Amino acid sequence: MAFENINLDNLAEQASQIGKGASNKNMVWNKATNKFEIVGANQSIPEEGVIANQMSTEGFA
Amino acid sequence: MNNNNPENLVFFIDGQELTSFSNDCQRQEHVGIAYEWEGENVVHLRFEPLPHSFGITHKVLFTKKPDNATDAPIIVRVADNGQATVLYRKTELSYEPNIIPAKSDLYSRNKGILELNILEQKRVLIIGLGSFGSQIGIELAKAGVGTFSLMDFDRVELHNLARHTATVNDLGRLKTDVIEQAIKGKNPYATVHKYPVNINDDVELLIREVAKADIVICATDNNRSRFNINRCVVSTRTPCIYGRAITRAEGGDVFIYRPGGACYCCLLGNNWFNAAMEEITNEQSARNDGRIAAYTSAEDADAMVQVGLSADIEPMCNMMVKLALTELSRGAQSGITSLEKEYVYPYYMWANRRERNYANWGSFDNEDQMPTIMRWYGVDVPRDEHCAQCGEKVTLDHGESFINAFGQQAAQVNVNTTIDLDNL
Repeated sequence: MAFENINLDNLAEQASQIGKGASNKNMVWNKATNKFEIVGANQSIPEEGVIANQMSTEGFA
Repeated sequence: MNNNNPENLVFFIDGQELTSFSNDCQRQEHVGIAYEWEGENVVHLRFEPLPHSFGITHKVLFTKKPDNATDAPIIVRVADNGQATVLYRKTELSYEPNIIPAKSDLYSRNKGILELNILEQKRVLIIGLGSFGSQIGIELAKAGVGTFSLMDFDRVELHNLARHTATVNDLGRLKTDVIEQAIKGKNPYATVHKYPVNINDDVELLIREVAKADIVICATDNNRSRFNINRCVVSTRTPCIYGRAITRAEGGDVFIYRPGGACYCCLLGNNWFNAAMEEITNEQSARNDGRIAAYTSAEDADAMVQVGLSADIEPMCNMMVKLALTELSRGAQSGITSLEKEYVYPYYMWANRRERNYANWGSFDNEDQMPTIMRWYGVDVPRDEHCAQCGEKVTLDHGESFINAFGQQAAQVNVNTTIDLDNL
């Protein structure tokens, strides 16, 4: 198996240029199912859904 | 060490050293580390120099001939039946030492729950040895994982201590050294590989270590490294667990990448690229990132970026450990097999307090049919076909398909490097 086509210098920078196809995500709480669902920003929210929060990108460890 | 009260000394001796001596009957001298352990009256002997210790180093003599006692401060006399006694500082008092058990006995209380013979064959790569990575490493060592690779360029600083496993005695030390010692303190048979490097500066090393690992623990605190790690685990199809606490540890989340499933980039989507790629853990970086309103005092601003209580990060660490053990034990009949049916989701959310991101969550009694604090919620995450890292319609290839997909921007991507993973 070969690990090809990966730029070792600046993966993150590259991806920030090309990742625009991915959609924004919202975290939706569905009251009918008592579950969270991930819904794209351009997708419709379920009838019983409540937007809990936009997917956070911050965080420490 | 209480030298004035030798009657109360308790000695621990490495059982393998004792067995070795009993087998070949050759007199042996060691440099042993004897240090206080749970009070002044407990002495622990290790027969290899520690790289760093505030304890007392003694020369230890193993002998079957009491008359040949030398100036070694600790003499271990071994009888023909393998029983040992300890003579300390030439006193006439002898001690029955406690023997540190052999490998098979070390985690005997885990039997029936964890498959130790499987875990000891596993290799775990932990990237980031902060409050998350340090705890997870020690917990996995306690579970019997056999090989660790530790990556972190950082050293222990005073502000780390409130949430880290390190102590004041570790200030200034590399975190890789501190956690290696802690892991070996729990499992002296573990193999630990240390890499005190910034993975963002050495992605080639990162790829090689990811390829060797059975599972990767991503416990870094900036998006740049998470992104690089994600790219590597997707490409090598290596399971990876990501964990983080949201600012001030109001809550947190855990994500597991299973090959073929959604990756971390599928989870965050385009939001990721709108976020700062570096850590926001001090006032200046938060101000630069626009997270602190103008005219906010330094004291108030500092409180806004403090990263929370140790107790508030424990749930995420705990979940990461259990997910890791479940994945590492997958397919084996063990006491945690049932968890394979529980941990079916890739993403798990937890809230400690109803603040900020979690302000609109429900009250604890859940009368309003909303999610509550102090409870895990599993979430399904579908693969995103447009994901920048694993999407079918998006690749990082340098070929025609890439150029077609992304137009002129693709030309900015440099010629890439090929690594043959089979020869690592």
